[in-house]
Amino acid sequence: MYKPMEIENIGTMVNNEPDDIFVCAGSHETRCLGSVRKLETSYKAKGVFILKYSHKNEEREKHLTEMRSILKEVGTIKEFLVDEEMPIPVINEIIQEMVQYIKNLDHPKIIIDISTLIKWHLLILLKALDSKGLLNKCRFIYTEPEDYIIELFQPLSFGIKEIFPIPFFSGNFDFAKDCLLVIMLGYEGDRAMGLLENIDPTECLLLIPKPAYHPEWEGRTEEMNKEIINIVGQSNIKYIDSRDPIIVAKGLNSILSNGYSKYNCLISPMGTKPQSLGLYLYWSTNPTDTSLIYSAPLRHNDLFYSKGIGRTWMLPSKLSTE
Amino acid sequence: MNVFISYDHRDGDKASKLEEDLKLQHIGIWIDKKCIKPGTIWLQEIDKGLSTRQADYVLGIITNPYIDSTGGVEAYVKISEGLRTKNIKFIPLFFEDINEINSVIIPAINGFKFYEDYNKGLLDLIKFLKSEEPERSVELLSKIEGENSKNPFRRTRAEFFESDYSLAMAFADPEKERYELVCGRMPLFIFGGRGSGKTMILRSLTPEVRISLSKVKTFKEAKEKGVDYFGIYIRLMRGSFSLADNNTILKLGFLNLGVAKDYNLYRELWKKIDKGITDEPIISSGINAAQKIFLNEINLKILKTIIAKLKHLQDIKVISINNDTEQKIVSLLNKRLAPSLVIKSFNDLMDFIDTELDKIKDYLQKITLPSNDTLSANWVISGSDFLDHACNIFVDNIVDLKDTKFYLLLDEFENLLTYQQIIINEWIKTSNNIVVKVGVKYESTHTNMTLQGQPLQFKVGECDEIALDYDLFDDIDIAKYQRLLKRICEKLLRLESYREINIENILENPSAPELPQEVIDQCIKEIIGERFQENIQEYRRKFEVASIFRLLRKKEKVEGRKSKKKVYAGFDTYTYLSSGIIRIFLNLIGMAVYRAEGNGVNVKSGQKISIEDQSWASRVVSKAYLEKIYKNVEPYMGINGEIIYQFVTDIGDIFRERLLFHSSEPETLSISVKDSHNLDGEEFSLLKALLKHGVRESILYKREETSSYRPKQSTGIRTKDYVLNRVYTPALEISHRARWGRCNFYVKELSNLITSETREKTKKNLQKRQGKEEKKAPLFGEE
Repeated sequence: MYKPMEIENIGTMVNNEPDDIFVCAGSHETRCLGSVRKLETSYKAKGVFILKYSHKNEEREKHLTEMRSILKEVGTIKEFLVDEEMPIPVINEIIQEMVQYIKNLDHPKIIIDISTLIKWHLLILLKALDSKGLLNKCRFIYTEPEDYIIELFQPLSFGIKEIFPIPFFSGNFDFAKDCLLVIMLGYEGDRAMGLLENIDPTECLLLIPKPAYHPEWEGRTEEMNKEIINIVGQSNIKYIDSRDPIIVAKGLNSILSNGYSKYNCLISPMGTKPQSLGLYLYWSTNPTDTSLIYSAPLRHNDLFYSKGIGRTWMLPSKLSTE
Repeated sequence: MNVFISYDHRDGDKASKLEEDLKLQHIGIWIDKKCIKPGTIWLQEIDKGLSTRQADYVLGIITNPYIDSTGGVEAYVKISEGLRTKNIKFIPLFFEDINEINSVIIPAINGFKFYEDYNKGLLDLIKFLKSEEPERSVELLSKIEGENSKNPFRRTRAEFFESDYSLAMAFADPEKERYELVCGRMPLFIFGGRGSGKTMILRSLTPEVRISLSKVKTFKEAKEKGVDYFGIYIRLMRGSFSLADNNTILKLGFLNLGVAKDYNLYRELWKKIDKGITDEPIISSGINAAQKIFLNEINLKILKTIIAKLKHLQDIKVISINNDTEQKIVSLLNKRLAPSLVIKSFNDLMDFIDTELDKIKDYLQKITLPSNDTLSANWVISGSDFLDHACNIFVDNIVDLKDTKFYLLLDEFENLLTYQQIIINEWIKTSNNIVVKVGVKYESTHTNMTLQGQPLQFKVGECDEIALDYDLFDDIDIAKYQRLLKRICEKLLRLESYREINIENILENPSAPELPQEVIDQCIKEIIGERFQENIQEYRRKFEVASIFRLLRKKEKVEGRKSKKKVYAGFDTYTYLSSGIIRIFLNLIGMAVYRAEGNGVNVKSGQKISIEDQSWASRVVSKAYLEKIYKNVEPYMGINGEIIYQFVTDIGDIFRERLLFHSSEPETLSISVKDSHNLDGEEFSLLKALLKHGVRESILYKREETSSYRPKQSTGIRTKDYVLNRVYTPALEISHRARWGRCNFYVKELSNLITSETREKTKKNLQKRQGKEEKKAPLFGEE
């Protein structure tokens, strides 16, 4: 499978055989239940890993309750409490646990729902899977939200908590080169602007997801990022796929190999989760020239966040740039 | 936008929740509330509440208790008349069923329903308020700085210059004594806030810029004109080193001490590192290991940068290095790095450096991820004197560099962790062949210790420091600053071929105060009585600005008043508003040009920018900078941008109260901490962090002690003074001058101001302390 595939039901990877592991994350966003609600009644897995984040949230607890009630019929549940600020030890633990459940390391049967994972945690998870030789053998599922409450164009988050290089993703930063900041834009214009202000790059490229998930969503990213687009200029806007990780990786390769090799390249993932997958693919083939940087928001604007459960996609399982 | 919430005292919880929810959305800058007591006519209370600030909207929390306080049908008539004649924009928020409200008038006014679904009501209200907001200030500022902007003042940062040549053309060195220190042989810490020009100054020492400024073509020619240094500019950005996080330090510590992995211990130690506690064995072991790895990494990266720079300058024929020289240099360097390897050229050496850097990165990744590979730390080891040794080799062997010194120009020093800064300090203390110049924000040097365990000695021959921000309380500094501003503007305007390049001539200067002198004098007399006649000039100097603010805010008609908005215009005013930071000045001027040109003024051909346009620009830039506090300021020691923003606006309200009501020293921008020794107490650590962070981000300034500030008696306690950045004053509606006058606070009061439970009460008490209570005005004032 080389293209994202919309799915209505999720079955096991091999008929009549339980999967090794099913992984999902609890969230205040309803779409965290997207894949769970689409599991076939006969779906089974030897291990079910539920990731939950450490800060308290009522909505999330509600969703976790439903998640548990559905998944207890699927397999043995193991919950992992992820500290938002220091996820690495838990991610390591998850990988070690995974290996225990996998019957055949050459053909593991792993499904990972990435819908509500924090993007930099997702990237580290991908790196950890890759280091164990598991990355290309997982199935990744992603559920869109039904919509965002953004007709008022209020930001989805406020302020900046921290700007930091994502661990394991620093390239060979060359002091002789100037800095190119590449921002994969989402709906958080203030966050992007804060990143630009704090990094002060020599050049900046803005990558806008296209096509939007729905036709009526076209233009939103531009509207939500008016300020940074003003500063950076229309000529530095590029468009990149929103959903297909392989096309995203190829797109990044095409854009950044075109006259930008004289820069230290810093890329910040603020767009979609499938784009983050694609970013990982790109980075893994260009690890020396590229560093990934993250701008964590101070707080999310819960009143204006995503709502509902949209379409669910199975993302390409062979994650390579072939 | 100003939003005012009016509510009955029994609905206090609704008002507080609404206030909180609106503030969480940052939809407006000012949100205040006034409780209506029983038996009062609520518009009278609103009137009083609006006495210190104009509101764009008054939101009424409509419940029957609220309606009951209006006092009968006659009051209704008066209220509706008042709403009409006073143009008070009143929006009812229905917290009870509209059909159950005991009023005919109120339900007839368009409002929002909160009683059915609070969140929906809130969303609808926010949608309305957002739609009424003018274009966002930050967005306007972004238009001026934008890539497609033709504004002559768009280049507010060094990074915005397309080439070293254009940077050189725009560069104006600060006054002689300061720049001599910058160019001299002494290691130097250059302190400055964002936009003060640190990067421009450091980059002015690089060969490319020096050659452009000297109007020559080669470095040899530049040397003949007096350039005796070779500057290598290095920006210590975040992400420029492999080692910058707690996780790796801890892993190194666990590894070094052979301690088994334990997640709970790991979390505990992580929190300790965050708090700055480093004497735990695992942490200190990890830091020692990290420091050794970092030293190698930074040595190799800087060496590579130097070689790349030399090659580049060789390619463009600025310097000359023949093959023999190149081979000799490489051979000498290699003796120190990897004697067993044969490396013959700069390119080979750079490849070798890349390989070593990859080894370091690889090792650090493997120790923190589950990996099947074995670990080995087998990269070259270079010592703390390596770069000193390397630079000596370059100078000794490259003819064009003879008799020059290598300057390492390290920008954004604040991005280094403590153990990394120690290495740079070591270079400063012990190097013979390199001179280190460091660009750093205030309060951002974490340590003055070196690897040998000795502190750096400032101003006694070891290293020096300068502050780039100008002290606008000092007349000499103001003059220097204004000279620099004029030179910078001249260069920028000339680059864009403006006919008039003297910025003073472009800005129309207010020739007189915005109100008739006799009206102002009358107001001053009302403040201080007949003493006014004894020394008119002195009292005008002291009270004129406060009087203007008071007269502008009066509801009743004031003779000669054309607008209720304060004028902020003229070169002097813009100087003050910029608070000694060049970038702020350029933003102000840029916005003024933008506005004027939008109004059809041909500034390029020499037409002046009007006072109105300048005032508009001041307010927009002020608001933008205020908004940037909560948007862009990263947290530090538990203090984030939103906390600082709230503190600044609260202090602004307190200063405003003083401006409007104080009878002896109304103008102030100084937070004067009377018992500053208490700041060291554990219970006030958050306040201390806020003040420090405010200084780091140039939101506050520490005021230098002058003789006029020392206590009158020797037994008196010296205060610590923090001055608010003047750029916020138009948005806060306070005076930007404030050359005298201090607002005294105790540490406990300031701490209560930033504590959510005590904030409101503390603020009210502090405001009350600033002046006397205003005399009660009639319900709607008299024309």
